[in-house]
Amino acid sequence: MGKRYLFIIIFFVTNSLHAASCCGGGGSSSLIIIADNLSELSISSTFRNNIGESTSGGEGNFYPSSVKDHTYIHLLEYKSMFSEKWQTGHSLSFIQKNLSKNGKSASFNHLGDYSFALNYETVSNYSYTLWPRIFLGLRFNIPFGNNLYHSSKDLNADVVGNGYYQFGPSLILAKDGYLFSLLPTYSPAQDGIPHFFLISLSLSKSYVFDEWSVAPLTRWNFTSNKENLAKKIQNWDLGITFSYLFNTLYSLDIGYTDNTLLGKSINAPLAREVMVKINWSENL
Amino acid sequence: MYVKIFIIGLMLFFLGCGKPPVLNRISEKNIFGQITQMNQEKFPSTQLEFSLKWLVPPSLESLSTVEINFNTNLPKQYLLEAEIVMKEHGHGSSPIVIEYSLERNSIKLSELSFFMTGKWTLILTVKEHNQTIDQWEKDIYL
Repeated sequence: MGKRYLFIIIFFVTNSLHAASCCGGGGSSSLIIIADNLSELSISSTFRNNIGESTSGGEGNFYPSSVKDHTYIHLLEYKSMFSEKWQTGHSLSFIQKNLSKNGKSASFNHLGDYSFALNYETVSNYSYTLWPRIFLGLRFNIPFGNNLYHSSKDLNADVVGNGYYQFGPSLILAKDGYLFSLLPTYSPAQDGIPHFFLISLSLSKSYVFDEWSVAPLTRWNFTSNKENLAKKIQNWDLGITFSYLFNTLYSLDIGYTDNTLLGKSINAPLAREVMVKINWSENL
Repeated sequence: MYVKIFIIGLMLFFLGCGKPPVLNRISEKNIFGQITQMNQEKFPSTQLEFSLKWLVPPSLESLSTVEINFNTNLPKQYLLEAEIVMKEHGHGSSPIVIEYSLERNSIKLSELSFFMTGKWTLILTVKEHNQTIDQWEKDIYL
């Protein structure tokens, strides 16, 4: 297998892991091209099963089996280079919720969020250096769905996606199959909800076996207090993605993410996710 | 070498940040410890004494109902309002249905929707001429 082929596999997988967010609404996605591609298009469907909440003391409070809290997230992503160093990324989610609690049932379908990212490759990767590739960027989120505080449906069924206008910088490091990202996000005061910030810190590593590859990921998500409204939220995602590269243009990812298995979770929804994603790329 | 770094990093994350939820499940005692009958409760200002009896206890499986029995009849100028909120998450729930008995010594609160687990607070407010004159609250762990 050519080195270039291997390189493409590695970075399809690591990018997919970043797109698989757990429990944060829209989650934090790096929306970045790392392989040698001019553009990338992907479509994914994620099934999220919310299975409980964590308390402020970090205890897991799991739902009884009679409770159903299911979310289907369909995500369209497009990323493209517009110069040697600069690139943009766009994503749009459509979300379906099916809930059954308290003897009530509710369903809701709606657009989730539109996210936009602008990234610049600050340091390129040369095999004779120890430096990773370093990308700096800006991210913006525009919500189409309600957040928790403006819900008007039973069981908060209309809370889809992130629900807030947000923006923030990004720092992404990539080397030898490792991908590290630091994504701080600021949510300005809006519609009576005070400002707050979020931080997402993740690390993943890809292992390649011919056309197949596997990549574990760990990610720490933190949401600050909302003054006089809500306390901080913290959780840890643990994920794994299997990827199959059909050729240099198409690949398939299957991922699993769970935020009940690693680290202390505080005031956070507990969820497990399964994702299927098809990627298409336009090679350089 | 990188594999080792990755594994060590994972272990540091795991050890440094406490038990994950799957290994730190809330106990049955904590969940249901405070939602049984509550006797000899009292509003702090009006000194109205009452007890609460759950006809349908809080759960995720059905809407809950609680009966409030006052030691004396509630004066006619007093109106009771009730809500359940999750202060740590900053949200409440759907409206509660309030029914007074003829003698106004008993009030039934129904359709309490505890739609997620965690710490809820039941807040009872006594109003007179639309002004809040007293408030009582109790935490409920679900």
